[in-house]
Amino acid sequence: MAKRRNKQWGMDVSLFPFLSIFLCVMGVLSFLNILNSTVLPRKMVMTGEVGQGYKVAYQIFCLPDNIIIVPPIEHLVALRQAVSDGSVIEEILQKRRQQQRALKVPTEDVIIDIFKEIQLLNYHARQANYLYEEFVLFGLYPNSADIYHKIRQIVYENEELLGISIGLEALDANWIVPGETP
Amino acid sequence: MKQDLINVNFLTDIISNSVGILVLFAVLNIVHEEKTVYKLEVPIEHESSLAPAFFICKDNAIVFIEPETIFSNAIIQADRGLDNKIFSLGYMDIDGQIAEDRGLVLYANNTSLWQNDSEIRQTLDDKLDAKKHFAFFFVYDEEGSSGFEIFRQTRQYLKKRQIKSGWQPVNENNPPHICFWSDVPACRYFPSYQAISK
Repeated sequence: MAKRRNKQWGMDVSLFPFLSIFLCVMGVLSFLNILNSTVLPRKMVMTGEVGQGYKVAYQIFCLPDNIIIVPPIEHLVALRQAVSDGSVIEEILQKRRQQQRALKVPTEDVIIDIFKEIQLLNYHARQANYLYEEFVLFGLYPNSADIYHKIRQIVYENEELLGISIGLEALDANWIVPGETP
Repeated sequence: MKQDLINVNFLTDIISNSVGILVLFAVLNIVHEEKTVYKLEVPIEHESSLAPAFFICKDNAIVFIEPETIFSNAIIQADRGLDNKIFSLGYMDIDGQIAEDRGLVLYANNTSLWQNDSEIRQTLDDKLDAKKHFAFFFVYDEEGSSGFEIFRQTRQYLKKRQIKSGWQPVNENNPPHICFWSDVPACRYFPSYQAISK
Protein backbone atom coordinates (compact mmCIF):
# COMPACT_ATOMS: atom_id res chain seq x y z
CA MET A 1 0.00 0.00 0.00
CA ALA A 2 2.73 2.44 1.11
CA LYS A 3 4.91 1.39 -1.81
CA ARG A 4 2.06 2.13 -4.18
CA ARG A 5 1.61 5.60 -2.60
CA ASN A 6 5.36 6.35 -2.91
CA LYS A 7 5.30 5.33 -6.53
CA GLN A 8 2.31 7.62 -7.03
CA TRP A 9 4.29 10.57 -5.54
CA GLY A 10 7.44 9.52 -7.37
CA MET A 11 9.59 10.37 -4.32
CA ASP A 12 11.48 7.22 -3.35
CA VAL A 13 14.83 8.34 -1.94
CA SER A 14 17.86 6.64 -0.45
CA LEU A 15 18.02 6.85 3.35
CA PHE A 16 21.79 7.20 3.71
CA PRO A 17 22.54 10.77 2.42
CA PHE A 18 19.66 12.24 4.39
CA LEU A 19 20.70 10.52 7.58
CA SER A 20 24.30 11.64 7.19
CA ILE A 21 23.26 15.28 6.67
CA PHE A 22 20.87 14.99 9.58
CA LEU A 23 23.56 13.65 11.92
CA CYS A 24 26.05 16.29 10.75
CA VAL A 25 23.62 19.14 11.46
CA MET A 26 22.73 17.67 14.86
CA GLY A 27 26.41 17.23 15.70
CA VAL A 28 27.36 20.79 14.70
CA LEU A 29 24.47 22.31 16.63
CA SER A 30 25.21 20.22 19.74
CA PHE A 31 28.85 21.27 19.52
CA LEU A 32 27.84 24.93 19.23
CA ASN A 33 25.61 24.51 22.28
CA ILE A 34 28.42 23.06 24.38
CA LEU A 35 30.86 25.68 23.11
CA ASN A 36 28.39 28.43 24.02
CA SER A 37 28.01 27.20 27.56
CA THR A 38 31.78 27.08 28.13
CA VAL A 39 32.92 30.19 26.25
CA LEU A 40 30.13 32.61 27.20
CA PRO A 41 31.32 35.08 29.85
CA ARG A 42 30.04 34.24 33.31
CA LYS A 43 28.77 36.95 35.60
CA MET A 44 29.93 36.60 39.18
CA VAL A 45 30.04 38.36 42.50
CA MET A 46 32.58 37.69 45.22
CA THR A 47 31.40 37.13 48.77
CA GLY A 48 33.28 36.27 51.93
CA GLU A 49 33.45 32.57 52.73
CA VAL A 50 33.18 33.09 56.47
CA GLY A 51 31.38 35.53 58.72
CA GLN A 52 28.49 35.94 56.34
CA GLY A 53 25.62 37.95 57.68
CA TYR A 54 27.27 41.13 58.87
CA LYS A 55 30.61 41.08 57.04
CA VAL A 56 30.24 42.75 53.68
CA ALA A 57 32.68 42.64 50.79
CA TYR A 58 34.08 45.68 49.01
CA GLN A 59 35.07 44.08 45.69
CA ILE A 60 38.13 45.27 43.80
CA PHE A 61 38.73 43.60 40.44
CA CYS A 62 42.33 43.94 39.28
CA LEU A 63 42.87 44.24 35.53
CA PRO A 64 46.28 44.51 33.81
CA ASP A 65 46.24 48.34 33.99
CA ASN A 66 43.22 49.38 36.04
CA ILE A 67 40.83 48.29 38.72
CA ILE A 68 37.05 47.99 38.78
CA ILE A 69 35.58 48.86 42.15
CA VAL A 70 32.26 47.45 43.33
CA PRO A 71 31.53 49.01 46.72
CA PRO A 72 28.64 47.50 48.72
CA ILE A 73 25.62 49.76 49.16
CA GLU A 74 22.72 47.48 50.09
CA HIS A 75 23.24 47.64 53.89
CA LEU A 76 24.20 51.30 54.12
CA VAL A 77 20.61 52.59 54.35
CA ALA A 78 20.07 50.51 57.50
CA LEU A 79 23.45 51.61 58.87
CA ARG A 80 22.57 55.28 58.24
CA GLN A 81 19.49 54.87 60.42
CA ALA A 82 21.44 53.06 63.14
CA VAL A 83 24.23 55.59 63.66
CA SER A 84 23.86 58.90 65.46
CA ASP A 85 25.32 61.02 62.66
CA GLY A 86 23.73 59.65 59.51
CA SER A 87 25.07 62.42 57.29
CA VAL A 88 28.50 60.76 57.01
CA ILE A 89 26.94 57.49 55.89
CA GLU A 90 24.59 59.33 53.52
CA GLU A 91 27.55 61.07 51.90
CA ILE A 92 29.36 57.76 51.38
CA LEU A 93 26.16 56.13 50.11
CA GLN A 94 25.68 58.84 47.46
CA LYS A 95 29.30 58.61 46.42
CA ARG A 96 29.13 54.83 46.10
CA ARG A 97 25.95 54.93 44.05
CA GLN A 98 27.81 57.06 41.51
CA GLN A 99 30.92 54.89 41.64
CA GLN A 100 29.31 51.47 41.18
CA ARG A 101 31.50 49.37 38.86
CA ALA A 102 33.76 52.35 38.22
CA LEU A 103 36.98 51.78 36.31
CA LYS A 104 39.83 53.47 38.18
CA VAL A 105 43.55 53.89 37.94
CA PRO A 106 44.86 52.67 41.31
CA THR A 107 46.82 55.74 42.35
CA GLU A 108 47.84 56.17 45.97
CA ASP A 109 45.03 58.70 46.52
CA VAL A 110 42.38 56.35 45.11
CA ILE A 111 43.50 53.40 47.25
CA ILE A 112 43.89 55.47 50.43
CA ASP A 113 40.44 56.93 49.81
CA ILE A 114 38.86 53.47 49.43
CA PHE A 115 40.48 52.03 52.55
CA LYS A 116 39.78 55.12 54.68
CA GLU A 117 36.14 55.02 53.63
CA ILE A 118 35.89 51.39 54.71
CA GLN A 119 37.57 52.19 58.03
CA LEU A 120 35.17 55.11 58.58
CA LEU A 121 32.12 52.94 57.99
CA ASN A 122 33.44 50.17 60.25
CA TYR A 123 34.21 52.75 62.93
CA HIS A 124 30.70 54.25 62.83
CA ALA A 125 29.12 50.77 62.88
CA ARG A 126 31.20 49.82 65.93
CA GLN A 127 30.34 53.07 67.71
CA ALA A 128 26.64 52.40 67.15
CA ASN A 129 27.00 48.73 68.20
CA TYR A 130 25.63 47.86 64.78
CA LEU A 131 26.72 44.52 63.32
CA TYR A 132 28.37 45.65 60.11
CA GLU A 133 31.93 45.22 58.94
CA GLU A 134 33.37 45.79 55.51
CA PHE A 135 36.40 43.98 54.18
CA VAL A 136 38.19 43.98 50.83
CA LEU A 137 38.08 41.17 48.32
CA PHE A 138 40.50 41.28 45.41
CA GLY A 139 39.56 39.47 42.22
CA LEU A 140 42.68 39.00 40.12
CA TYR A 141 42.26 38.69 36.37
CA PRO A 142 45.18 37.28 34.34
CA ASN A 143 48.23 39.58 34.14
CA SER A 144 47.09 41.79 37.01
CA ALA A 145 49.84 40.85 39.50
CA ASP A 146 51.56 44.25 39.15
CA ILE A 147 48.38 46.16 39.95
CA TYR A 148 47.65 43.91 42.95
CA HIS A 149 51.16 44.34 44.37
CA LYS A 150 50.97 48.10 43.80
CA ILE A 151 47.78 48.27 45.87
CA ARG A 152 49.17 46.05 48.65
CA GLN A 153 52.34 48.15 48.72
CA ILE A 154 50.32 51.33 49.15
CA VAL A 155 48.45 49.69 52.04
CA TYR A 156 51.71 48.48 53.64
CA GLU A 157 53.25 51.93 53.38
CA ASN A 158 50.30 53.58 55.08
CA GLU A 159 50.11 51.84 58.44
CA GLU A 160 46.82 53.49 59.31
CA LEU A 161 45.20 51.48 56.52
CA LEU A 162 46.21 48.11 57.96
CA GLY A 163 43.63 46.22 59.97
CA ILE A 164 41.05 45.72 57.24
CA SER A 165 40.46 42.05 56.41
CA ILE A 166 41.52 41.05 52.91
CA GLY A 167 40.79 38.11 50.66
CA LEU A 168 41.94 37.37 47.13
CA GLU A 169 40.95 35.03 44.36
CA ALA A 170 42.32 34.23 40.93
CA LEU A 171 39.71 34.87 38.23
CA ASP A 172 39.36 33.47 34.73
CA ALA A 173 39.26 35.97 31.89
CA ASN A 174 35.66 35.03 31.01
CA TRP A 175 34.25 35.76 34.47
CA ILE A 176 32.79 39.23 34.36
CA VAL A 177 31.38 41.72 36.83
CA PRO A 178 27.58 42.06 36.42
CA GLY A 179 26.80 45.20 34.45
CA GLU A 180 30.11 45.18 32.62
CA THR A 181 30.47 44.38 28.95
CA PRO A 182 32.82 41.41 28.41
CA MET B 1 20.42 -5.74 -3.00
CA LYS B 2 17.58 -4.27 -0.99
CA GLN B 3 17.82 -0.48 -0.59
CA ASP B 4 16.43 1.41 2.42
CA LEU B 5 13.83 3.84 1.17
CA ILE B 6 12.08 6.59 3.10
CA ASN B 7 9.42 9.17 2.38
CA VAL B 8 10.95 12.65 1.94
CA ASN B 9 8.17 14.42 3.85
CA PHE B 10 8.70 12.21 6.85
CA LEU B 11 12.45 12.85 6.84
CA THR B 12 12.09 16.63 6.40
CA ASP B 13 9.76 16.58 9.39
CA ILE B 14 12.31 14.84 11.62
CA ILE B 15 15.17 17.11 10.53
CA SER B 16 13.24 20.37 10.93
CA ASN B 17 11.90 19.30 14.34
CA SER B 18 15.31 18.25 15.65
CA VAL B 19 17.09 21.33 14.32
CA GLY B 20 14.33 23.55 15.69
CA ILE B 21 14.60 22.00 19.15
CA LEU B 22 18.39 22.38 19.18
CA VAL B 23 18.20 26.03 18.09
CA LEU B 24 15.58 26.69 20.77
CA PHE B 25 17.75 24.95 23.34
CA ALA B 26 20.76 27.07 22.35
CA VAL B 27 18.76 30.31 22.64
CA LEU B 28 17.36 29.28 26.05
CA ASN B 29 20.86 28.39 27.18
CA ILE B 30 22.20 31.83 26.21
CA VAL B 31 19.29 33.65 27.87
CA HIS B 32 19.73 31.58 31.05
CA GLU B 33 23.49 32.22 31.14
CA GLU B 34 22.86 35.96 30.67
CA LYS B 35 20.69 36.05 33.79
CA THR B 36 22.75 33.77 36.02
CA VAL B 37 25.14 35.45 38.45
CA TYR B 38 27.56 33.03 40.07
CA LYS B 39 28.52 33.57 43.69
CA LEU B 40 32.23 33.10 44.29
CA GLU B 41 33.02 32.54 47.95
CA VAL B 42 36.41 34.00 48.73
CA PRO B 43 38.08 33.29 52.08
CA ILE B 44 39.79 36.00 54.10
CA GLU B 45 43.46 36.06 55.10
CA HIS B 46 43.92 35.46 58.80
CA GLU B 47 46.66 35.11 61.40
CA SER B 48 47.77 31.59 62.19
CA SER B 49 50.26 29.82 64.41
CA LEU B 50 50.88 27.30 61.63
CA ALA B 51 54.17 27.47 59.73
CA PRO B 52 54.07 28.20 55.99
CA ALA B 53 55.30 25.55 53.54
CA PHE B 54 56.14 27.33 50.30
CA PHE B 55 55.31 26.27 46.75
CA ILE B 56 55.83 27.94 43.38
CA CYS B 57 53.31 27.39 40.56
CA LYS B 58 54.35 28.22 37.01
CA ASP B 59 53.50 26.88 33.52
CA ASN B 60 51.20 24.20 34.91
CA ALA B 61 54.02 22.85 37.05
CA ILE B 62 54.57 23.13 40.78
CA VAL B 63 57.56 22.84 43.09
CA PHE B 64 57.86 22.49 46.84
CA ILE B 65 60.52 24.76 48.29
CA GLU B 66 62.70 22.64 50.58
CA PRO B 67 63.63 25.26 53.20
CA GLU B 68 66.75 23.41 54.44
CA THR B 69 68.26 23.04 50.97
CA ILE B 70 67.34 26.52 49.81
CA PHE B 71 68.55 28.34 52.89
CA SER B 72 71.74 26.33 53.40
CA ASN B 73 72.70 27.09 49.78
CA ALA B 74 71.76 30.74 50.22
CA ILE B 75 73.88 31.02 53.38
CA ILE B 76 76.91 29.60 51.55
CA GLN B 77 76.42 32.19 48.79
CA ALA B 78 75.90 34.97 51.33
CA ASP B 79 79.18 34.01 53.03
CA ARG B 80 80.87 34.49 49.67
CA GLY B 81 79.57 38.05 49.63
CA LEU B 82 76.99 37.57 46.89
CA ASP B 83 74.40 39.88 48.43
CA ASN B 84 72.21 41.50 45.75
CA LYS B 85 73.64 39.19 43.08
CA ILE B 86 71.64 36.40 41.50
CA PHE B 87 73.11 32.93 42.15
CA SER B 88 72.02 29.36 41.55
CA LEU B 89 70.41 27.67 44.51
CA GLY B 90 71.19 24.25 43.05
CA TYR B 91 67.59 23.25 43.54
CA MET B 92 65.01 22.62 40.82
CA ASP B 93 66.60 25.18 38.49
CA ILE B 94 65.75 28.04 40.84
CA ASP B 95 68.05 31.02 41.27
CA GLY B 96 68.20 33.14 44.38
CA GLN B 97 69.10 36.64 45.44
CA ILE B 98 69.49 38.02 48.93
CA ALA B 99 67.75 41.34 49.28
CA GLU B 100 67.79 43.44 52.41
CA ASP B 101 64.10 44.27 52.38
CA ARG B 102 62.66 41.03 50.97
CA GLY B 103 64.87 38.25 52.30
CA LEU B 104 65.60 35.47 49.84
CA VAL B 105 64.20 36.30 46.40
CA LEU B 106 63.56 33.30 44.16
CA TYR B 107 63.73 33.26 40.35
CA ALA B 108 62.10 30.30 38.63
CA ASN B 109 63.75 29.44 35.32
CA ASN B 110 63.04 26.12 33.71
CA THR B 111 60.09 24.20 35.14
CA SER B 112 60.80 20.87 33.43
CA LEU B 113 62.09 19.36 36.70
CA TRP B 114 59.00 20.42 38.61
CA GLN B 115 56.00 18.25 39.37
CA ASN B 116 52.56 18.15 37.81
CA ASP B 117 49.21 18.09 39.58
CA SER B 118 49.16 14.36 40.33
CA GLU B 119 52.87 14.09 41.21
CA ILE B 120 52.72 16.90 43.79
CA ARG B 121 50.06 15.07 45.79
CA GLN B 122 52.59 12.60 47.15
CA THR B 123 54.84 15.50 48.20
CA LEU B 124 51.92 17.23 49.90
CA ASP B 125 51.02 14.05 51.75
CA ASP B 126 54.62 13.54 52.86
CA LYS B 127 55.62 17.08 53.77
CA LEU B 128 52.52 18.74 55.19
CA ASP B 129 50.99 18.11 58.56
CA ALA B 130 47.63 19.86 58.98
CA LYS B 131 48.42 20.54 62.65
CA LYS B 132 51.77 22.18 61.92
CA HIS B 133 51.71 23.64 58.40
CA PHE B 134 49.72 25.57 55.89
CA ALA B 135 50.63 25.74 52.23
CA PHE B 136 51.58 29.09 50.74
CA PHE B 137 51.64 29.33 46.97
CA PHE B 138 53.56 31.83 44.86
CA VAL B 139 51.53 31.73 41.65
CA TYR B 140 53.06 33.04 38.44
CA ASP B 141 50.75 35.39 36.55
CA GLU B 142 52.52 36.47 33.39
CA GLU B 143 51.64 36.64 29.70
CA GLY B 144 51.98 33.05 28.46
CA SER B 145 53.13 31.71 31.81
CA SER B 146 50.33 31.20 34.26
CA GLY B 147 50.23 28.96 37.31
CA PHE B 148 46.56 29.62 38.10
CA GLU B 149 45.24 26.27 36.91
CA ILE B 150 47.62 24.00 38.82
CA PHE B 151 47.30 26.25 41.87
CA ARG B 152 43.51 25.82 41.88
CA GLN B 153 43.79 22.04 41.51
CA THR B 154 46.36 21.74 44.30
CA ARG B 155 44.39 24.03 46.58
CA GLN B 156 41.30 21.91 46.04
CA TYR B 157 43.26 18.79 46.97
CA LEU B 158 44.56 20.46 50.15
CA LYS B 159 41.08 21.58 51.06
CA LYS B 160 39.88 17.99 50.97
CA ARG B 161 42.82 17.04 53.20
CA GLN B 162 41.88 19.79 55.68
CA ILE B 163 45.13 21.69 55.11
CA LYS B 164 44.92 25.46 55.02
CA SER B 165 46.44 27.44 52.20
CA GLY B 166 47.22 30.99 51.16
CA TRP B 167 48.66 32.52 48.00
CA GLN B 168 49.93 35.57 46.21
CA PRO B 169 50.44 36.30 42.52
CA VAL B 170 54.03 36.76 41.37
CA ASN B 171 55.73 37.79 38.14
CA GLU B 172 59.04 39.13 36.87
CA ASN B 173 58.58 42.46 38.65
CA ASN B 174 57.33 40.88 41.86
CA PRO B 175 59.18 37.57 42.20
CA PRO B 176 58.56 35.11 45.04
CA HIS B 177 60.46 35.95 48.19
CA ILE B 178 60.82 34.29 51.55
CA CYS B 179 61.50 36.28 54.66
CA PHE B 180 60.34 35.95 58.21
CA TRP B 181 60.60 39.46 59.64
CA SER B 182 57.26 39.64 61.37
CA ASP B 183 57.38 43.44 61.70
CA VAL B 184 57.50 43.89 57.89
CA PRO B 185 53.97 43.45 56.45
CA ALA B 186 55.29 42.16 53.11
CA CYS B 187 57.16 39.41 54.98
CA ARG B 188 54.08 37.96 56.60
CA TYR B 189 52.38 34.99 54.99
CA PHE B 190 48.80 34.23 55.86
CA PRO B 191 46.55 31.31 55.13
CA SER B 192 43.11 32.15 53.84
CA TYR B 193 41.46 28.91 52.83
CA GLN B 194 39.81 27.37 55.85
CA ALA B 195 40.11 23.84 54.52
CA ILE B 196 36.55 23.03 55.45
CA SER B 197 35.21 20.49 53.03
CA LYS B 198 31.64 21.20 51.98
